[in-house]
Amino acid sequence: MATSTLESTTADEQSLPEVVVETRNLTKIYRDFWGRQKVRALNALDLEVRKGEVFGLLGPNGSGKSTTIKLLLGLLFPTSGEALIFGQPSTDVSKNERLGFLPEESYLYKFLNAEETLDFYGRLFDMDSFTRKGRVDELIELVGLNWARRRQLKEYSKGMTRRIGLAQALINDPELVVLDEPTTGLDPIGTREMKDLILKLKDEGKTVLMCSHLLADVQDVCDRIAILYEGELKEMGRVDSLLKVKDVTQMRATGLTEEAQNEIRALVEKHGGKVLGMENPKSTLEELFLNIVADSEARPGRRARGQDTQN
Amino acid sequence: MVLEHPIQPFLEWLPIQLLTFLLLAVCLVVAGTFVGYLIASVRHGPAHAFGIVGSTLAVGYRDLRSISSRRILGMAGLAFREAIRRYVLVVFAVFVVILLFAGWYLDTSSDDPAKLYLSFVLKATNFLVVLLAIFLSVFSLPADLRNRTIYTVVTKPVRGWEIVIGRIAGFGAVGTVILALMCLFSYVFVVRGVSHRHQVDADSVEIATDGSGGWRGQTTRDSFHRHEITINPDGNGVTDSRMGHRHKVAQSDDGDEVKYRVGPAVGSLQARVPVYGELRFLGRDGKPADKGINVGKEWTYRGYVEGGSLGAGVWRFDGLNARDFPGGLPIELSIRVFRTYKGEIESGILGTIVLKNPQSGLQSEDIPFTATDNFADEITIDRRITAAKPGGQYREVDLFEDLTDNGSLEIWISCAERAQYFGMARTDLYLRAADRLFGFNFVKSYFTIWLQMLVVTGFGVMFSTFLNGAVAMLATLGSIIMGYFSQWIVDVFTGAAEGGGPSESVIRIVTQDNLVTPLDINPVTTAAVKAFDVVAMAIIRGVSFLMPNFRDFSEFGGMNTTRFVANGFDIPMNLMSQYMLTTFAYLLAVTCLGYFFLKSKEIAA
Repeated sequence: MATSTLESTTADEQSLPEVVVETRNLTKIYRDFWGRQKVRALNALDLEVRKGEVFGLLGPNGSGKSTTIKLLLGLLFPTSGEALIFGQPSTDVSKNERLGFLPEESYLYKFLNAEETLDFYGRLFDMDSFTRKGRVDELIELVGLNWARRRQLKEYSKGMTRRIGLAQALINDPELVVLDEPTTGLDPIGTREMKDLILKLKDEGKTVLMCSHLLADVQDVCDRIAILYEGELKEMGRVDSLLKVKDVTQMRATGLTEEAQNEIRALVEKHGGKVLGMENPKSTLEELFLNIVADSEARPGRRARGQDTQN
Repeated sequence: MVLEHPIQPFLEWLPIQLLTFLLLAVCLVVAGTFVGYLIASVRHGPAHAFGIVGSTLAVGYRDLRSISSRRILGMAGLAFREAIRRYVLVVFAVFVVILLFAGWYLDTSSDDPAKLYLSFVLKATNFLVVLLAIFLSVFSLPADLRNRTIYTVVTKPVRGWEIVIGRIAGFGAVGTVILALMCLFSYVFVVRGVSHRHQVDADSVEIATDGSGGWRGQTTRDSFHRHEITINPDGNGVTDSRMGHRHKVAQSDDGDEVKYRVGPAVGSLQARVPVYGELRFLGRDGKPADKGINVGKEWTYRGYVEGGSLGAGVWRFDGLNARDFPGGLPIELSIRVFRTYKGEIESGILGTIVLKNPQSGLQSEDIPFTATDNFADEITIDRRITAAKPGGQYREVDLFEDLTDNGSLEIWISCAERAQYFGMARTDLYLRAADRLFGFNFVKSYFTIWLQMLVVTGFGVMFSTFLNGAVAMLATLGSIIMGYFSQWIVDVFTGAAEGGGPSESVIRIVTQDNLVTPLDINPVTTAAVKAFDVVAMAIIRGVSFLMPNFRDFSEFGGMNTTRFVANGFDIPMNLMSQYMLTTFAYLLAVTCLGYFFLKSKEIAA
């Protein structure tokens, strides 16, 4: 049995798309001025995000998801372990050519207007002025800020800043988009648009790595998720399989008569099962998440290994 | 103008400085690598640290190779916009206000108002621009880190080099705009400040008594002075030199009435090009002396020759040719006078000038002049001049063909009055080549301020890559102050300046102890204090040696040309090239340091 799993994994890996983001044993310890350990923000994280995936990092505040993102972007240096993007170390600047990043709050220069902002970031990608102009127009159109393109960002509302932040993350048509809390501060419509955009990016074959604590958003768009708690990886896998309630079978059918239903019930009971109801509700991501948090508090030592929890 | 040390020719200066720069660069690289290794080994262990240091250097080199001018321009544009939108132009407004009020306080009745105006505007500009450069450069990067706007920048393929160079270039551009405006305004301010008109006081005009057929008279008193005028029989004349300038005067007679026209001031704003020679002294017996006589002044810059003796000051000039001096040889001299008896104090002391061919010994007649202390005299020697060999007959010769030997000429100055003394230094006598444009010289001086601004900006940006804004400001300011006082620091270190190092000075301040008395505490403490100070001063001296020197004395390597412009001298291109190269070297050094500081910084920490 074990052998066959191994074989199937190897076969799977051959057919799987290339790894875009990878961390190996990634650890970050914050120290004070004297080198004393203050906080172990991330502990031996192993992750793999493959091309074309929408991958979500979940966790409560202080769980290490932001640290992970910062380590992957080279904004922090790992204490030990490795963070690789496109197979290059995260501190290598050239990886940024194919990467777009939307920070938690849109950290943009408030004294620039939308056009100048995008033009500036375009320059950083060494785009010539013709390409830059085209790209700036395209993105301002995409995020729907055409009416405010000449206004300084300090006059922008939070939602507008978020949109221009997203536009700057896409200026280079990146292969990998890293989104830190993409829906914070957005109204329900903005949130919906953001989610649609993430799915659109996925359709275009881009890889998206996002972190969030808004569970519904993650559930809606992510293919796979990792759940972090106090710097440790607690769960990782496909959203649909993680959310599956394994000892409950759900069946949906139409056109069954009362008799037929009774027959099915009898059949179930005959097999030692118990019919809970004809419609079994799916658990929500929120439930799963809270369970994991509670479980982690009760049993601090438990850790998930860097593989998906099997179905 | 006092120049204690001659300005080194560029080609003599270059090899020494280049070698010093390379040596320092090697030392800094070695020291930097070592410190980097130490830090890395504390964090990651000694073995791993090798790899870290190696890869940092390799990445630095790779990043350098992938620098893009478009990204630098992007970063520079950002810095420029940031500065402009944060209202730095206010500095310019402050400058204009200073200029407006300066008119009230500048003493326009002084002997040389042009000098006053010029040194005022140049110093005010310099001070404001250096302050501006500090404020602009030190707060920008730390603010970027604090606001985390840097996150969106460093996650783009922008290299540390580009961030540092872009910042320096952007703020440099802002400074350039402001400096250009200041230059224009202060030029107008100076020109307007020194310009004035006189009328001829018609009642004072009378026929000259020297039999020349011309007239003499006075102008009206304007701008705190009046001139004596001399008008030739042809109706053209000139005033005497007052407050550093003259006016042309023209007389016209329309039958009924004689009219006079006095032209604008000439010579108050000028860019003289002095050709300096080498000075040697002859003692009272006419034999070569190491230096002139010391008349008891502490400042040994000038040597003195005794009047009525064989003593003389001899300047030797080389490479002279008739092409450079088409209208004869203009000599400017400002000889100091030291009197052992008062004599007639108004009339000055008589002296003689003799021009000599150093090879053939052919020498001109004595050309008499009167020296008044602190007053510059201008004498133009005609090309046709009477000369003789010692003991020979005087005949008319050509100055450039007969009196110079392959372009070499000696000028002998001696004092004719017994028991009076002439004080001379190398720069007290020079030949005046054709003047350059004053406006261009003024711009050159602003260019030096511009270079200073770039260096300060570079230091500010470099410090801001690893310090927070306020600390970076102090560090930049500290660097400038240390550079400014580097000569004094050397003097304290070598003991030439009294008072001792930092801890000894503190003790002297607290105990109100005299600087020159020995320390009045127990011997053990004294020894400890002295030992500490020796180490401290050695470090301070070493650091101050590396810092830029903006002092107003070019002999100490200070990058400041105010004195040249204020005294009406052209700034030698030689000096400008030295300053440009020095600036470039500093920018190179701070860019490298800034890059590695930025590279080793955890942006999000």
